[in-house]
Amino acid sequence: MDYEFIIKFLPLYKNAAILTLKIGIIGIIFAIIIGLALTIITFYQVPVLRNITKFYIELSRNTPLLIQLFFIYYGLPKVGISIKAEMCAILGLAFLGGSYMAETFRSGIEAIDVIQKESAYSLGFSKLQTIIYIILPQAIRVSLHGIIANIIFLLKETSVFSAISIMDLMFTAKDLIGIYYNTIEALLMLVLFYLIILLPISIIGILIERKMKYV
Amino acid sequence: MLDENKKEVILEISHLHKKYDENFAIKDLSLKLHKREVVVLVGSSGCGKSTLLRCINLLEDVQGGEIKLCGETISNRKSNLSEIRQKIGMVFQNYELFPHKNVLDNIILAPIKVQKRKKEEVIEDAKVLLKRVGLEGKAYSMPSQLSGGQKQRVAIVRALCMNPEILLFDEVTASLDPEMTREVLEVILELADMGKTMLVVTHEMQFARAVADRIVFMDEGSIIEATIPEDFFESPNSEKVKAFLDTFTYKQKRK
Ligand SMILES: Nc1ncnc2c1ncn2[C@@H]1O[C@H](COP(=O)(O)OP(=O)(O)OP(=O)(O)O)[C@@H](O)[C@H]1O
Ligand SMILES: [Mg+2]
Repeated sequence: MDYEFIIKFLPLYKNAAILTLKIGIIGIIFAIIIGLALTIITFYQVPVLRNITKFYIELSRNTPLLIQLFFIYYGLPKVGISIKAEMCAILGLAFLGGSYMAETFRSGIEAIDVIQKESAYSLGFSKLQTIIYIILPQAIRVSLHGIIANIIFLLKETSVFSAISIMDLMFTAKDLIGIYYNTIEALLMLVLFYLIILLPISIIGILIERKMKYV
Repeated sequence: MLDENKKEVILEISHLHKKYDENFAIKDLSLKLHKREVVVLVGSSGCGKSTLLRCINLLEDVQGGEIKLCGETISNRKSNLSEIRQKIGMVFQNYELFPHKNVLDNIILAPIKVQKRKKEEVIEDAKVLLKRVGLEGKAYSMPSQLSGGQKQRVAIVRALCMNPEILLFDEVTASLDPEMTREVLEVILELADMGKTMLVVTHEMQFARAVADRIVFMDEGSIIEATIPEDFFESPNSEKVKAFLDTFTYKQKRK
C-alpha cells in the first residue's frame, strides 16, 4: 500500500467529494420539489398536466442517467441552450430523481385513508390546504424510508458525472489511475469517500425515521 | 308545535336523488330541519343514511332535487365549497383525527387556516370546549394516545370549534364499546340541550329516543316515517319500522 500516494491525493478526493455532495444535494432538492409538484398534479388529476406527468415519469425512470446527461450536455447546446457541466449534472439528477420522488410520495399518499381527506374537506380546508397541512405531512412520514433510499440511490448515481468531465470522485479516481497506475489506492479512496458521504445519510435516515413515528 | 313553521329553517332537502352508477342510494327524499332541532336518522344498513350526510356535506354529487342550507342552494356546488362546509360540522364513524397533530392542533388548525381567526382566541375557545367534554388534560396528547371515546369527543370539539350552523353525526359510536359509547352520547345530549341543530345517524335506540325531537326512518333511500320519538317507538305506522324495531328487542332478549 502506497501511503504517501494516499496522503498526497487526499485533498484532491476531499474537493471531489465536496463537489459531488454539492451537486448531489442541489439536484436532490430539485428532485424533491419536482416530486412534490408532480404528486399534487397526480393527486388532483389536473387535466393535461397529469398526462405530461405520467409521460415524464415513465421517460425518466426507464432511461439511464448517463443518457439523460448526454441529452442535456450535448443536446441542449444544439438547440441553442448552453449551460455549464455542473448545471447539467444538477439538471440530470433532478430529472431522474423527480420521478423517483414522485412515485415514492404517491405510494405514501395512497397509504393515507380517504377519510383524512374528507375530514379536512368537511372542516372547510381547500384542496391545496388539505394536501399541504393534512395529506403530505402524513405521506412523507409513511414514505420516509423510500425517500432516504432515493437520496442514497441518487447520490450513488452521481458517479456517472465524470462522463461529462465533472471532477467528481469517480473522475478523480480514474484520472489518478490513468496517470500513476496506483489502482488499488485510488479505488480504495473512492470507495472510502462514497462511504463517508453515504453512511451518515443512512444513519441519519434511520434516526429520523425513528423520531417521526407518532408518539 | 304551532310555532314550528315560524322557526328558521336551517336545512331543507327536497326531492333528492342520488345514484351510484345505476343504483339509487337516495330516492326522492325530502327533509327539513329547523334551528335548534335534533333529528335522528335511523334505518337498516345500506338504506342510505351515510350517503345522505355525505350529500349534505358536498362530498357527493346528486342527480336530482336540491339541498338548501340557510336558504341557499348548496347541492352540486362547484365553487366556494369551503364557505358552505364551514357551516356544517361533521363527525364520522371512524376516528378521523389527524394523527400527526396533537389534540389542540387538530382542533385549532381549521379555525386558524380556514376561518383566519386569531390563534390565541381559538386556543381559548378550544380549551373551553375540551373542558366541557372532560378532556382538558389531553390538549397536548397525540391522537394515538387516546381511547376511541376520547378521540370521538375531540372530533366533536373540532367540529364545534368552527361554530357551524348544523352538526352531522354518522354513527359516531359504532366502533366503541358501551362505556365509551355512553361518554360520547352524553356529549351529544348536552349539545342538544345547548340548542345545537343536529342530524344524527345512530343505531342506539335508547339514545335516539332521548335526544331526538323527531325520528326519521329511512328505507331503500327514502323516508318512510318521520315523527316524534314516542309515536315512533310506541305506535309506528309502517310495518317496516315495526320489523326494524323488533330487531332491537330481539337482540336485547338474547343478551
Ligand atoms: N361509493 C359508493 N359506490 C357505490 N355504491 C355505494 C357507495 N357508497 C354507498 N353505496 C351504496 O349506497 C347504498 C347506501 O349506502 P350507505 O352507506 O349510505 O348506507 P347506510 O345507511 O349508511 O348503511 P350503514 O348503516 O351500514 O352505515 C348502499 O346500497 C351502498 O352499497
Ligand atoms: Mg353508514
